[in-house]
Amino acid sequence: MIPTMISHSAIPTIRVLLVDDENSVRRIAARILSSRGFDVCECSCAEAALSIAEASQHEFDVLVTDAVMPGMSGVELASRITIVDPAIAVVLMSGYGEDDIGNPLAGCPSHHFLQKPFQADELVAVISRAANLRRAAAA
Amino acid sequence: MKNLRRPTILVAVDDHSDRSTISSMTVEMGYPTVSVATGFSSWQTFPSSPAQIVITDWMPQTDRFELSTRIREISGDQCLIMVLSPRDGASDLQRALATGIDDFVAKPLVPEQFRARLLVAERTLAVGQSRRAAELENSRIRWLAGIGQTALTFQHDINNPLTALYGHLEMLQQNATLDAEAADDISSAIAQARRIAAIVSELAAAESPTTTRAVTDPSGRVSPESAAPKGL
Repeated sequence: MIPTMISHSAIPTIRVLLVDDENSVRRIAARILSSRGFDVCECSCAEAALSIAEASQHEFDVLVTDAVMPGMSGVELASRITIVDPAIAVVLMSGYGEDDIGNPLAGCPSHHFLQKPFQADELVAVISRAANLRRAAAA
Repeated sequence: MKNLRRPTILVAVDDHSDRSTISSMTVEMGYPTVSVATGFSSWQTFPSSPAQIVITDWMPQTDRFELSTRIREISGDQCLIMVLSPRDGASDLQRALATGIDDFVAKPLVPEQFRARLLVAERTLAVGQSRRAAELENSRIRWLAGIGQTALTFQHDINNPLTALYGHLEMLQQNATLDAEAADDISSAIAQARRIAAIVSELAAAESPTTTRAVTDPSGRVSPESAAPKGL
C-alpha cells in the first residue's frame, strides 16, 4: 500500500499516522484532519504503517489506528511502534467498546481511545490532546 | 403426610394383595399413587397420567419389558421403573436392565427396605431434575451469549459506516456556499445518524462483555468466539 502524505501550513503542525483498513472511514478521517491543518499519512494496514514508522525517525506525533484489523491489529501496531518511538502518542479507534477489544494499553497516559462513530470535532480534539501531551512531555 | 411435590407412583401389580400393600405404603409415605392391575392397564394409564416412579411385578411371560420400553419412549430418563421379583437370575436381570428397568425389589417385601428404596429412587429423580435444569440454564446462557455476539457484530458493522456518514455530512456542512435548505437537510441527516448511533450504543450496553470479545485471526477472519467479521 502506498501511503499518502498531505501537508498543510498550520503551525505547529501535528503529524498523524492514520491507519484503518476501512477505506471509507480512513479517507474521510484524513480529509477532516487535513481540513483542520494536520499532516496526515494514511495507511490501510498495520504492516505498512509499521514500516513507515520505522523509517520515519520519529516523524509522527500521533498514531491514530483502528484497533481491530486483518493481520496485525491496531493494538499490536501501537505496541510495536511504541518500541520504535516511545514518545509517540496513540489514539485507538474502534467500533467496539474499549472493554470489548481487550486493550492492554488502556490506562496508559500516552494512549487514548476513540469510540466509533465519532464526529469531526471529537476526532480533532482527541488527536490534539494526545499531541499536546506528547509535546509537553518532550519539552 | 401430603406433599404435592413428591413424585407420582404408578403401582402396576397383578396380585391384589401385593398391590394393596404397596399402594398403602406409598400413600402413607406421601406419594401420589395410581394403582392398576395389569401391564396392559398400566400402559393405558401411563400416557394420561405419567408417573415418575413405576412399580411393577416380575412376570416375564407378560409384557413388562415392553412396558418399560414404551415408558422410556414417553418419559426418557424422567421415570424410574422398579420391579418386584422373587427372582435374581442374571440373564433376566441383564435383559430387564437393557430394557430400561432401574431397580429390583425382592419379594416378599420388607417394608423398611422398600421405603428406603423409594427414597433412593426419589433422590435419583431429584438429581436428574437438577441436571436437566442445569442443562436448560446452560442452553439459555448460550442463547444469551449468541445475542451478545450478534449485538457486538451489529455494533461493529454499523459504527464504521456511521463514522464515514458523520464525516461526509460534516464536510458538506463546511461548504460556505451551502444554502439554508441544504444546511437544514444536512443537520437533519446528522440528527438521524445520531439516533442510529444511540440505538447501537444501547444495544452494545446490553450485551455481555464476558461473552463478546472481538478477536480476529491472522487473516482478519473472525474466530468462533468472536463477532468481528472484518477489521473495523
